Amino acid sequence: MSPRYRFPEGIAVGRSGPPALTDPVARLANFVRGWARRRQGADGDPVALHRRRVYILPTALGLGFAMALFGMLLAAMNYNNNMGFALTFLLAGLGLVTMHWCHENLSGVIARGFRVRPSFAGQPARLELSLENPGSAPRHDLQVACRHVRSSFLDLSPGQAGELHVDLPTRRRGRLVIEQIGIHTAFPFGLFRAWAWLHPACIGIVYPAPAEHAPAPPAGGPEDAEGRWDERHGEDDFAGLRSFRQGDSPRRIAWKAAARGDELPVKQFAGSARGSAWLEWDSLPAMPAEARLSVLCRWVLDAHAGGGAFGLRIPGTEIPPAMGPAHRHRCLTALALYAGGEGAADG
Amino acid sequence: MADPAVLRLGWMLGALGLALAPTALRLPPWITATFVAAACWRLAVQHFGWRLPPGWLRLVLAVGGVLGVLFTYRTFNGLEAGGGLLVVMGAMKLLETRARRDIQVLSFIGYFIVLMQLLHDQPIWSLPWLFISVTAITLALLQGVRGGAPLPWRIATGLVLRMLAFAVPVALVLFLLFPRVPGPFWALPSRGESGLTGLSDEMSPGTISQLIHSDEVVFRVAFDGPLPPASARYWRGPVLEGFDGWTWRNFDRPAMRRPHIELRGASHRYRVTIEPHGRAWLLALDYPGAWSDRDAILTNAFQLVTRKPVENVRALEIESWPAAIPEPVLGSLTRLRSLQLPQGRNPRTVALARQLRSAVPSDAAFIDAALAHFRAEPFVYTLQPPMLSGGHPVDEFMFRTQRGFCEHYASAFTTLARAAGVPARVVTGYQGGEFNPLSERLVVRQSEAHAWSEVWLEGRGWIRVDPTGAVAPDRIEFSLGEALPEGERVPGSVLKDFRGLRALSQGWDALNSMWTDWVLGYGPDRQLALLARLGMPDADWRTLVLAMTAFVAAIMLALAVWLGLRLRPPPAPEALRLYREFCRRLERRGLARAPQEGPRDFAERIAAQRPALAERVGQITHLYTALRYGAAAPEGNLMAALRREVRAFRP
Repeated sequence: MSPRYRFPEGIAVGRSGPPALTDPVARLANFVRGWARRRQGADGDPVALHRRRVYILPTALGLGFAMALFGMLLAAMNYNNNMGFALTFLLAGLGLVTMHWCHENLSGVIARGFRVRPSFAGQPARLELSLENPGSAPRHDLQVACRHVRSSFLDLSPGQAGELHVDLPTRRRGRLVIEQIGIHTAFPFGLFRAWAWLHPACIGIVYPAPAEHAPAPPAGGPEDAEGRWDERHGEDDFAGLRSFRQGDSPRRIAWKAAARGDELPVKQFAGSARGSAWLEWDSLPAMPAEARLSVLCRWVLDAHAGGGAFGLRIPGTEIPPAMGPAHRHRCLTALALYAGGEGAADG
Repeated sequence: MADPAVLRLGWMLGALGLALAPTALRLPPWITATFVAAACWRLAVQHFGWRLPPGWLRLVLAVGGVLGVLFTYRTFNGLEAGGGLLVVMGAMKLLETRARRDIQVLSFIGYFIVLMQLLHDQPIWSLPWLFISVTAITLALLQGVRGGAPLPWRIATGLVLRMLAFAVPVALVLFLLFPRVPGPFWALPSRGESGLTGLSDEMSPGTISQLIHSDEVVFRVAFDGPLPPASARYWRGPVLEGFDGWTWRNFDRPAMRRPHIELRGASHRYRVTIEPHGRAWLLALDYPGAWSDRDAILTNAFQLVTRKPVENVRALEIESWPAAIPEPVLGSLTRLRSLQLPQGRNPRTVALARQLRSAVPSDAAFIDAALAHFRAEPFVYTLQPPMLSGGHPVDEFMFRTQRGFCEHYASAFTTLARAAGVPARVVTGYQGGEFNPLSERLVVRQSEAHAWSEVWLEGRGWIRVDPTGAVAPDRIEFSLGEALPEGERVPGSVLKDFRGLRALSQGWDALNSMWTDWVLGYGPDRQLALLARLGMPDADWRTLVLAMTAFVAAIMLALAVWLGLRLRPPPAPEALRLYREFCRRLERRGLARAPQEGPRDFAERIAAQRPALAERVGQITHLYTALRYGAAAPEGNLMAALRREVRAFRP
């Protein structure tokens, strides 16, 4: 027996945002989702959507269709009209066929490659996955849904695979735990909706939002501990100009070049000659922890963009200087998960 | 490709146009025009990127449309007004169509438009039309609700047709077995006589000869035994007793006393399939004694009527006794009614009747004398009788014009008989009918409408007297065309003179007859007969539901199997399958191929481990790699060789 699984608050159906759990429909939906999770267990990667885990229900349109058919049946009975019966029965047959078609449009699809691209707090985190059609008939209108956000539609011809993504809103730094991913289809007529729930081990990282205005980073090389730029050092290491970004030190602006154009050019210096910079928690003046993390995040981004090696030192974590995207990710993750970032990143 | 939104809209407009086409001619022109205008407007909005009409304008238009329908039809109730309203609402919906949901609503409106047309009229082409319009609307729905861009039409059509291939058998099973609950559940406004021709419940000079111009089928009859002779094929319709000197009509309240009739002699059993005529009467040979429809009753004028107007094709089995004695004892009320004559009208006819009666000893002899009078005088049977003035029309016909159609003769003879004190009345209906050898049905058309007289004689009851037969015996023995004078023609009969066309028209009629019999006239009795043929003799509605569920479930199972097969991975190429078999056989000998091992490496390892197998394995591997990875070569020989090698391979 798997342990009784409960979703954290706020994972329930609804149009936008987590609805209150006092809503009985939301409670029921939540219960059903939990039931599906217990019934299916956790998923690996890839997951084949077997027939038994594809659920199906009529949509509102489908219920409307049933009502319309009932009306037609009454009319045909009332007028005792066999052609009226013929039309009603043909449409009823079509409805039944549609139900099977919709279910089979989804079952057998293989989902794989679940991952959430890291994002900054407040910016959407992109959940990506790939769907494959191993069958010999085409599939249409496949859609991924996660946390009430829906992706675009995907058609797959036999043997083909394709990517879908959803952009999940985030509010604060931390882990973005994907409890459940839905793969939906309402093909062919939108009368029925078939769906499968996936529970892959899939966690995204939401970095702190980078500070918009940040003091210049401490430099391990030509910049001294107080942040003053020593003009004599490093002039030989001048590597080029780049455009101004918020947080750049005014002393780095190439004023002569700026006089010639509209842009504010900023001098760049080759990192290797500068030595490695340490981005340090303690180098910042007294400010709240989240603000500190934002500034550090900005520093990491700038240092990475600047191309030099840098290290990160925050309470409890020290990442030695290095370079490259993996290092950047490591540093930003450390910031994201700094004490207080253990909670869910969606608020 | 064009804008998907335009495509979606175009699909839906095309489908709605197709569904609306047969109805459009029938609708008031302004409704059709409204729909076309709305469609054009909506297309222009899409094409030129205009804005949709604002909400207040749509509201004004919708209210205007609804009021227009109310003004045109004076009601919303009933098929015609409801249909008009549906089309107007469809037009309004077009003007606000922007999202998927609107397309879905439009498709539902489309299905209802099809239903409306089917309820109105069910000619034989309505089945293919039903199929085509449902396909078109469903296609438009498919394209309209699709998430991605619209599918190419060939693929979309293929999809819908494949779905219909399973939906049609389901529909067929439901059609055959769904228990028919006799309606109606609520009062239906009758369609009345709008657009329907047929006998009415009154007869004045000219009413029947009007009908003669119509070639429409009134009913078809399948006889169990031999066809009765033409002279016995009198199909009894409304019996008219009241006469005001010009018009014969029914009394408002027919006496609903149980008719008294002595059935005797041989009987005919037959099945009548009546086309809808909007009136409550059925048509039967004289004199119906037993019938299959519980709704039908026999009036005391021996006319078979139903409680509700015949609005749809109706089929019933009837048994008639031609030699029965109807009403051996004449009730006093009926005697009074069938002797009534308007005071002071047609005096010369009355005088003639009295003179004829006084010359003969009995009522029976009077009848012969009156018929002899018609034969002796120069009466002419014609479709184009001269106009009669209102004052004494029977006198005028008897003594001045002497040219008339069956209603003139029936009216004159009945007047004569009544004036002579013989109870008499006018019977309208149909006489004759054409036998179609292809369908083995007697086909009776409007052009066979007829009127005759009935007199009551002591000891013999009501007997039929057809004065037209005295004047133009060919009308009774053969057909109208034979009886008319030289130079007069039955409308439409020119075509029938050609042999090929006659066969063609008979074939068409046979098809229509099957259509009305098996599709439109299919009812509870046929359902039970079908079940009996399937081996369930004493079926009731529970058996029907059970059989229906079983058949539908079987079709759904077939669908699930077929869909499952479609979703299985495509089969591996034969070379690969053979090579896998080869690997399986080696594996059984403990020589499993490692996942990362290529075929050649594998072959080399086997050769090293089991030198005895080296040659065979090498050969198979060579063939396999040539087939799988080699350039396009004559595959047939290599494949045959590989097949042979693998089969013979016993490590």
